[in-house]
Amino acid sequence: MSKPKVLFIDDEERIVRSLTMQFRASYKVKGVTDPTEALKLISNDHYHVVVSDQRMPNMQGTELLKQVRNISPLSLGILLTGYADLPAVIGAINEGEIFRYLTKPWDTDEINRVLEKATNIALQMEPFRTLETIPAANQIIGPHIMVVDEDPAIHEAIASQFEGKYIVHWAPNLDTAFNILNTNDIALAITDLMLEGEEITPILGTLKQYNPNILTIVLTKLKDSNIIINLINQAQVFRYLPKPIHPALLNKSVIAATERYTQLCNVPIFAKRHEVEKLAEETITPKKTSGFLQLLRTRFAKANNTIATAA
Amino acid sequence: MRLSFKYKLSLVFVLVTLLVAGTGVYLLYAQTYELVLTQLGNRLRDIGSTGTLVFGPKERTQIVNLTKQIQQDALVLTEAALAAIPEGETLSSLAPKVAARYMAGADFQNLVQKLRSIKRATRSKIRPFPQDHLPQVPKDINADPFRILYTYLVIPLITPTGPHQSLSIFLADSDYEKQPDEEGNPIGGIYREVKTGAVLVPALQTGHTKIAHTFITDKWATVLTAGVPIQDADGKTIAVLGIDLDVLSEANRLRRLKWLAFGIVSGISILALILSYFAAQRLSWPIQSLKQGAERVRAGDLNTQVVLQTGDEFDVLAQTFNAMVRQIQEHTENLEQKVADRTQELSQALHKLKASQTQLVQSEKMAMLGQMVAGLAHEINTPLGYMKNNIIMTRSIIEQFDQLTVASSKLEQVFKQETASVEQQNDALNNLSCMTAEIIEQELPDATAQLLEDILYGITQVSELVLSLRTFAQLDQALIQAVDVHDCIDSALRIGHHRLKHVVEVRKNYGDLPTIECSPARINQVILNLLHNAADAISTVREKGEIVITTTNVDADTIQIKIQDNGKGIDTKHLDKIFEPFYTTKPAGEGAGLGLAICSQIIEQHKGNIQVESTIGWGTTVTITLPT
Repeated sequence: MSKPKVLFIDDEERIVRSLTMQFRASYKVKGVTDPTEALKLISNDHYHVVVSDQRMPNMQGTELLKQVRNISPLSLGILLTGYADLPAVIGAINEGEIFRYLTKPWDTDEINRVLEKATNIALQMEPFRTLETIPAANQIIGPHIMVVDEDPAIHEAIASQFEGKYIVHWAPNLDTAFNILNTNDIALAITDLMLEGEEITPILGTLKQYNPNILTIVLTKLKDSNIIINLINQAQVFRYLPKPIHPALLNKSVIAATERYTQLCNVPIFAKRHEVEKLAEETITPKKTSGFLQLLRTRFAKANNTIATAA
Repeated sequence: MRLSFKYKLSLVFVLVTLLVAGTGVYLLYAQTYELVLTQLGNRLRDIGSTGTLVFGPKERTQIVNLTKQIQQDALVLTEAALAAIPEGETLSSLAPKVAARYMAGADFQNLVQKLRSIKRATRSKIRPFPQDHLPQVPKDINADPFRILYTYLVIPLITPTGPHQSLSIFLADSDYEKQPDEEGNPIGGIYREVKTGAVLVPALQTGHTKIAHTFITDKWATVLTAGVPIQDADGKTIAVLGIDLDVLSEANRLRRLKWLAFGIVSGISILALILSYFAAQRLSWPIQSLKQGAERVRAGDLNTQVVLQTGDEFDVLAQTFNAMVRQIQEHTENLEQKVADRTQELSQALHKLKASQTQLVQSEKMAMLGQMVAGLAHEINTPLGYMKNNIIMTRSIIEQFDQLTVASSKLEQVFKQETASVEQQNDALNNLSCMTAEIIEQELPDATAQLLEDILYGITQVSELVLSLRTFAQLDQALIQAVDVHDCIDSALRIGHHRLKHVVEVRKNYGDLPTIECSPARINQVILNLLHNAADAISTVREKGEIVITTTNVDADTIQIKIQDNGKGIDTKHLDKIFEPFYTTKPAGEGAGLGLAICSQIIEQHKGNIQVESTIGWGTTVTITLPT
């Protein structure tokens, strides 16, 4: 098997030089300082992983990765940036749909690990390159959507908007959410990031970990770029929408999410693309969250076992 | 015209009095006049001996014919008589004969009969009045028909006796007006305006007595006229006795009465004037005293009290006024305290306002600092990123070299050992050459050199940044130093590098500047802020713009820094307010609108000047002048 190909883009040539030098042994690496050139390269050749800086002349990293996704949907995007400003991080989720968000100065081991994982996934997906346009499966029963928000307004809005198309559940709290998860195959979770006073990134991460097909749209008032970086790296949220919610944006996001869900169901390997880091259990302190996590693990472990047995 | 209330009041009194008195006097006068006239009229009716006899048409014709005949006969007689008069005879002796001839005629007899009956009839009606002034009526009317003729028919019985007492009685033809008297005056003189039609004809026609009075304007007199019908034995009205009474004397009396009335009115008026003055004064004194009180209050005498005790509305007004004055007095007394209280409240509010403003300025500074830190973090993290990575890589390369060293020393050992086999020697040599080959294949020496060079470059970058930061470190301390403005600009450019590098090309036109006394930290802050603004203005309209920084030494005392951008420009309507605190066109949450306000404040503190010129679509130029 040939070495996977990795492309580094940064307007600081020393970064490019350093990174290419670091990874030249493991991968087939290429480094450029100009995003336009990078796009040209990607059009001509398949790169498994694209690592880009955010602040660059002519083009922002998120914009570049968005275009990369259009040109080469199976390439995984990683953002490596010196400063996590909020628009960049939100753009990384909503536009770039990136695999990981790394900050400078980076941890050598971490970047090693991330690249390894990314290239692995990319290699696994490679056979499907020809199946880029997968027709959406005929939906007999619309996918289940769960809205987790203390405020019923969002649920009402979505339920009325997609009436007859999807089944929309509402969970005002975590317990209800768990019951719904337990009894239904949820395709899309639209959730506030703060529930019962706790920030639920770990829950979203665990959910994703055990059930990579579930897509999440996060609605929040929080504007902390570190939290959002965690949402990317640990939970691979599909969209991040700041509150107050713009209804058109939400509808668009829901439609995009259900399309993606169909795609994931058809080609399960694509779900790998949204693989997350496994959480270290001791990092989770809030009581509610950890209790819920326990429930989740039990629930999905059982399910996975059933699948395994069935297989 | 301005009249005091008092005079207005008196005027009203006078007018009212005059009206009442005038009306009263007029009514009195009219009443008297009417009374006098009525009495006179009644008396006139009683006056039998005065009057003008108007014949009926038949009688008139008879008299006229008879008169003509007599005159004619007399004339004939005279000529014949003259011729036939014997010596010693006079004409008068002939007359009785002529008279006798006519008196013998039937017409004459008839006429005389009628006249006699009229005489009889009138005698009962006409009584002599006043007796003294009446001329003697011929005693025997039968004996002297000519006298009747002359006296009754032609010549007025009585000539007017005087202008004042003008009771006239005459018997006349109804044409009497046309016949002048001996002096050429129309008969009746002053009565010429008396129209027969008013009483005589109606009396003749109706057979009833008629009375009328006519005012003769040019004589200022009233004439009373009565028409008394005279009937013959058959009860037929054959003539009307017209009686005119000149009431001039009565009129004069009435005129005197008028003057008296006028005098009374004048007297009343003067009295009313005087009385009304006092009355008005009496009535208006409460107002006067209220006015004076108000003036005293206005002059500042707050102890003023107006005491009226009139018990009317003015009294109430005065009491209200007093209450008001007392209130004003109390308010004035409290005012000092209130002013003090309010001043304290205001100063507290001001203090709060200042505090919150300081807080806002502080938060704006923090926002600027945050922006700067964001840029700096990126600027520092980038070199740190590759430096760290390079060092780690270099470390692993060094490990490889270490192994090489170990291998070479092992080789050396093997070769030095006499006991070592050729095999051992070959192994060691192979090992070393393998390693060397690997190192050469990986171009490790060059790579290492490159890595190290990059690290050095990174270190230079970071230390330059840190150097620039040092000036910014004193952001809140305005240390005055002799500073090269270019250093300030350069360090601001360095700090703002991350924001500017992708958006703008910076062109510097540095002139030859002396050092100036200023707070470098503050000036840096201003320039960084202006650069950020320029970058913001550019990035909204174009991918890449240009900022031109020009410095000139205007004169010995002034330098000028000009920062020009080709961004979107500023609308004229915003341009005036651009330095006002909290004025911003950015949406809420993106800057408090203090940036330029702070800049302008800093430049003012340096006794400099900051100006903005801008054209929409073309860009903005900020010019700062600073004293050296």
